[in-house]
Amino acid sequence: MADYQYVVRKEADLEKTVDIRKLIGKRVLSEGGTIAGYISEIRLNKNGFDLEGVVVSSSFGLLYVGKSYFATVSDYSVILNTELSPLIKRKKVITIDGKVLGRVRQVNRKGNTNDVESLLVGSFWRKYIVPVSAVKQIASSVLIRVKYNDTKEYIWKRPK
Amino acid sequence: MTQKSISGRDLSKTLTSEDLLGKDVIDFDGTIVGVVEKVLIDPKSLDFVGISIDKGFLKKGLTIGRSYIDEIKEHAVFLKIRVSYEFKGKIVFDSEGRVVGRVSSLELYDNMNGIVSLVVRKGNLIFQGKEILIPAKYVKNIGENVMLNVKKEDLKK
Repeated sequence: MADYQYVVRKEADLEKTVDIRKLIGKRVLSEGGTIAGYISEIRLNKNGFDLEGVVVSSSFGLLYVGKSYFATVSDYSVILNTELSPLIKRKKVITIDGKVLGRVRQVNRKGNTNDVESLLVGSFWRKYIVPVSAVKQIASSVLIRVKYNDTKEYIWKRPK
Repeated sequence: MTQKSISGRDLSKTLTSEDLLGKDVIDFDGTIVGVVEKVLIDPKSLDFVGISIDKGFLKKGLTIGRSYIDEIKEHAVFLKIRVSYEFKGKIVFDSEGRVVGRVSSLELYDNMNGIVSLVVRKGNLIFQGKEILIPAKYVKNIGENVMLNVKKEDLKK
């Protein structure tokens, strides 16, 4: 490793920093190991030069993930402290009685945060809006705590 | 036509094998493990001891004990656990996000669901490398894949 001359006041040692050029193209992993995608851009704050987030190229398009969702940044990857809610799309939704309601077609979030507000679930015939209060668990499938037979939205009635 | 009963109790709320057979089995994580193929009954005590699951074409079946069953609902049987055997094939990442390998098999506490260690094969599906044994204490999180709480280098020690 090259011998560096330090010109710093109170900044962290070089060993404790990450070369951001090396991060481009590296994978972004969720808390549970889901490969969210690969880093395509690293965004810094214009004023303080602090890292603000990364742009992730995923199968769901480009995602801008803020640093508050980062758990670990290493030379090899960024590991998040959460499961990214846009990745819930296409997961199966199972009701409390074990019926497969359909798949997640759209994730409605609270603003631009990772918090889910509701899910638009679509089966072959129908569409349902499932509020987050009815969601029991989101893992490999979405488990909901109700038998779903209310708030139906039909295919010809587009969601707002 | 109502059926006659000589059981001495109300059996109207009991389940029959017909109710169970063919139902989906869903684990704690929401993964559909398979469908109920057999209902297992102890020949001496005549108690219900578990279910046998058909996991699909060319896949080995799985037997699950009664204690791991959470609820039997109208359309599915829910389990209290995530079936450890389902972790096979998951990618294992170290604490820095580097790929360690894929879970090739598991060591479990005698016929139970608790993991003693993961057997991880390095390399990819075509060019397979050597296997390493990773004790369960190094596993941080298991979701879609396996996250470890140690670096790759520390595993070799």
